Amino acid sequence: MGSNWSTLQLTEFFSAITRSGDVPGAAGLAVERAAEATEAEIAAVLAGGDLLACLGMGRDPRPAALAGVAAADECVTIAGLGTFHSTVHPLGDDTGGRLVLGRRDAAFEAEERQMLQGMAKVLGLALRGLRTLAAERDLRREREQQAEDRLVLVTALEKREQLLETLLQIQRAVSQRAPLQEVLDAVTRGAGAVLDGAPAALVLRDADHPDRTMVASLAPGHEAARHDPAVLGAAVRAMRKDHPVEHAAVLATPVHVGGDVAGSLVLGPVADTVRAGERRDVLLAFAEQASLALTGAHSIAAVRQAYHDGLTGLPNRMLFLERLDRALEVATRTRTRIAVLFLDLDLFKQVNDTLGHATGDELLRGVAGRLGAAVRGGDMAARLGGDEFAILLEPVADGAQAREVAERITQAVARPFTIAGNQVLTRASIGIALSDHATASGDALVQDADVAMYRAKKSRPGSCLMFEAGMRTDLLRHVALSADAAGAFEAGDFRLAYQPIVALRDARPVAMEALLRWTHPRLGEITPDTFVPLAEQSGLIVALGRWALREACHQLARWHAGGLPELTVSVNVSARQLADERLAADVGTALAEAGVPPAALTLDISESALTHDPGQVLRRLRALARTGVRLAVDDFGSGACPMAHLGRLPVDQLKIDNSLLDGVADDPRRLAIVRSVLELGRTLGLQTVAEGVAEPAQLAALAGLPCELAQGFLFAAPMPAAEVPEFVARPGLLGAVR
Amino acid sequence: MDESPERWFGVGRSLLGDPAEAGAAAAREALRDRRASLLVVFASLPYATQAMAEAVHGAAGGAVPMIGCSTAGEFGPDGRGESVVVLAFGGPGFQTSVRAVPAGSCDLREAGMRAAACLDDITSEHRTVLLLGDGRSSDQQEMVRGAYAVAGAGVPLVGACAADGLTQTSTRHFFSDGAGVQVLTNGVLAAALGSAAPLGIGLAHGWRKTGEPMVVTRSHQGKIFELDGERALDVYLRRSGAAADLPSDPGAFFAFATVHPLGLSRRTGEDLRVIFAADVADGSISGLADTPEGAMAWYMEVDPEAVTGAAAAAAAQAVDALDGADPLGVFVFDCCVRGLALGPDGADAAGRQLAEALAGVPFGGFYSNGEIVRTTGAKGMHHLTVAALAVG
Repeated sequence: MGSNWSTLQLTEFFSAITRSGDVPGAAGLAVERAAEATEAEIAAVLAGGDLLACLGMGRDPRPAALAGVAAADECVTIAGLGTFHSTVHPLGDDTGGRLVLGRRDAAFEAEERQMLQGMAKVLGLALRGLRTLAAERDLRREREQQAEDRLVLVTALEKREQLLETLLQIQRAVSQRAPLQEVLDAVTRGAGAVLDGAPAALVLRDADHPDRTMVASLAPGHEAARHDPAVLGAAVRAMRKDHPVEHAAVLATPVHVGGDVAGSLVLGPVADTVRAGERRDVLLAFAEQASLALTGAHSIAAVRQAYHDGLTGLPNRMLFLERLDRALEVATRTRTRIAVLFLDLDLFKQVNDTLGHATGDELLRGVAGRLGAAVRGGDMAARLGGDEFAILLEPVADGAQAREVAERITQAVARPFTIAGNQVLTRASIGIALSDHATASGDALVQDADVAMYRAKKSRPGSCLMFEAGMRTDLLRHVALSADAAGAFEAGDFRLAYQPIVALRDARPVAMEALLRWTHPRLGEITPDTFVPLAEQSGLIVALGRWALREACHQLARWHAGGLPELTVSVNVSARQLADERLAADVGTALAEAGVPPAALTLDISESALTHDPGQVLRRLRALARTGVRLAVDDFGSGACPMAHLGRLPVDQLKIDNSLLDGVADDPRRLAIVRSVLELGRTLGLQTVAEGVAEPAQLAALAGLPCELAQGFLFAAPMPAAEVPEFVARPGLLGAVR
Repeated sequence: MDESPERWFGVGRSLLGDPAEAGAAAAREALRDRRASLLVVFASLPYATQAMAEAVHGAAGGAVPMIGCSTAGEFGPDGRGESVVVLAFGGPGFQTSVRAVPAGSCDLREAGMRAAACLDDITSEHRTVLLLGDGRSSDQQEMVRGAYAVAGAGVPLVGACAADGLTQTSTRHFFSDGAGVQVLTNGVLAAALGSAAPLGIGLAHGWRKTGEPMVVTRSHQGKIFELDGERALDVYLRRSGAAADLPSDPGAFFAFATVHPLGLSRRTGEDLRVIFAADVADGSISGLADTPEGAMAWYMEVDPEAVTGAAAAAAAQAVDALDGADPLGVFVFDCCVRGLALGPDGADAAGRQLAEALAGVPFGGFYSNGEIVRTTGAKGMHHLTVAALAVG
């Protein structure tokens, strides 16, 4: 957090100053309170070359040491005491007086300067009143003045009392955190009343539109000023210049928040009884009040916001980590242990997507409430962001105790939430990390719990898992590889290899399946089994798949042009791509750019991808089918897709999963399964492809079955595009392998 | 009494039953026939007599400046408890000057100014004012403000306020400007120290802020009526986890609240406010020093290890502040309320840690009613802290 103190601490200062009976007393109190509030060593009030009061320079201060300090100076060096960061604030009185402070260890911050500015203005007004009082005493002593003069002075004194009393009341309202609007209204009402009912308006910049203004408060009875161009014009000029301006009897002075101009306090024409200088001083003093009220409101809100999550009211990450670091320090010292539970909601995205963000927010609030009830007294639950929460258990005896709390939480969260009449279900996956003497920081403990949560979510969503050291290594590799994949894609390091698909009838290669390949600069060849899931998780797969599609189509066009006009190409489409509504358009673009006929492209969609959101899948497949491309169900027979479902899909080809071919040559039962799958394909009018044919015996087994095409290492390993024409031209392929 | 050719610092402590005998014994142990530049004597109330003060002064050979006060217990390298402890230093390069301001002779600010005027007599390169205020008088910050007005930013202030063994009666100060010995009630004393070698000062506590910040929304002087717009007592009981009926027993509330302070937020740390009373009728809690409206406050919790180690930490800071010079000895002023928080075993542990931290360097001090350290900023009065002055 930035400033730890608040500008609200001025009531004390105001009340002390206004109670003071003489100029030296008021100035002396002012330097003392100003220095203590800002932890400054040096404070002084200078007026016309005299030191009215001074603190920190011993009993014999030399005015000359400070007389030269100008507002622009950032440092002052005082003989025998050293160099201090300085700040200078005009009192705004007739004497050109200034409040000067010096601090050894750090420069004054904007909020401190603003508070000192407020102190200086009030001091200026108090000193003016005290001087008037002193003058009246002199007059009384002389006993020569006429009654009329006395009357003027008495009036002036009453006004001074009224003014300081009004300012004190406003300051009290600020420090008691009265609603901001009440404080601002008190400022305009007070300024108007002190200046014989003059119209006063507080004009603020619109926070969302800095070029617009709004009238935040008006003195009662002056509603017309709200739209008075003279008032608004003066307000804008004062804001622009950051200096008081006066035009056509309208006076405006800027109002600040934390040192930045935030608006203006504007005063319309006043009665003749008020002197021009007085009018200006009073306006400046009230403008400081408005600034302090706005800054105070701002800083308090900032303190609270800085430590809490606005949605759930739980402590946020910052407060959690602060408390965690402290707990860890105590645990290390006292040789006790603490635990961090890292909680992530399963299905939260689906709730947000299907039921809307308002329901999602309500769910987070509900979860926060249940966390509070499930943890032990003294434990701290915090929202780290999104659907992630963390719980600090301090202290814990062992892992079992932490697990007990974690399980209580998973049970609490798993109970249905009723939101706007709907039953909403979610689950919490929780990772548990326990501190030990080697735990380096709170942050590291949270990371460990996060890693364990990730594992829990992957292996069994809605469960709890204790962190183990090996998890981190796995995850680090995973994360690094995922980042590397993104980089490799950007750098164009992915390539395609092509594996022939052969017609069993005449041993002729009829198609090429495009397969993604990635050679990692350090780790060597990374298999698609490793990088495709990573790209699926990170979302990279969409861009990567789109690239593969275009690349394969362009390659096909080159083969067509190079004398292989019958060749077709198969390209894999992932579940994530299938969910992307732009897929059909991407396919159309790829075909059009390459200039190949749609029927020459087959899209392989894995059986498992077809089971997510069947309605959406069907719509996507129909859209793809309309482009004229052929669709294949890849890895068929792995068990994910119900047979009944298959008949409804607009697909052309069935690629039999290579696991079905294992042992097919020796085991009649396996052969029977393969036969039935192939016959199903034929019944549905689908072309069938046997994948992963690696041995001659497998090929022989297929011979008597209704299988049209085959693919596998027995025929050829995936090869670079350049080698394909030569492979296709090679005669007697089947003969070679039989 | 010999003029020692070397700079020295001695500590003596006596548990003898007769105050005068104990004073003389402690002084002899501290002095070992050396001529002192300054005598500093701390005594528990049963020992805080004119006879004891005269015996200490006499044992030092008379004609030596002396300051001292009554306490809530004293301590030295060989233990703590009700006793007389004498600290003395001397040898080449020391300058001292002392002042006493009797209670009632002026207001506290003026008392601070008059006491610190002893600085006028000191010309050494390294200077400090050792203040012994009065923990029974009202706002001792006023006294420190007066002293600061005289000393200015160039001279640090250090010291503590006399205690009365938690009897809530009155304190004693022991004083001699060389000729004669005075015992004052509720006075203010100062000794200006000048030295050719550095003087180091340290301050530590051991409480830590916890939970969310609160704003003092209504207060008058030391009485806090509202925190965050709610009855301060309700907020305090909730934050501290105290039983709701605790305030109905003022004694129990005092025992609990004194070790569960509030911390006012300051730019460079917290300013602790000891809470000692509650008023169920108006929902207020009362602290030992002013708590201004608008201040941001935290409930403070005890960090047991840090509270135990605060005396050692303050002493180590003071030694570190000697800029590499070897410490001759260390004055330590330890808030008497800390003893309540620590309990007897904790206080013993604190003493052991202090001795370990100082590794054979002589030290002594007392359990005080407020500690004084002004090295930065303009404020110098502290509560629930340990202040230390290392003499190099």
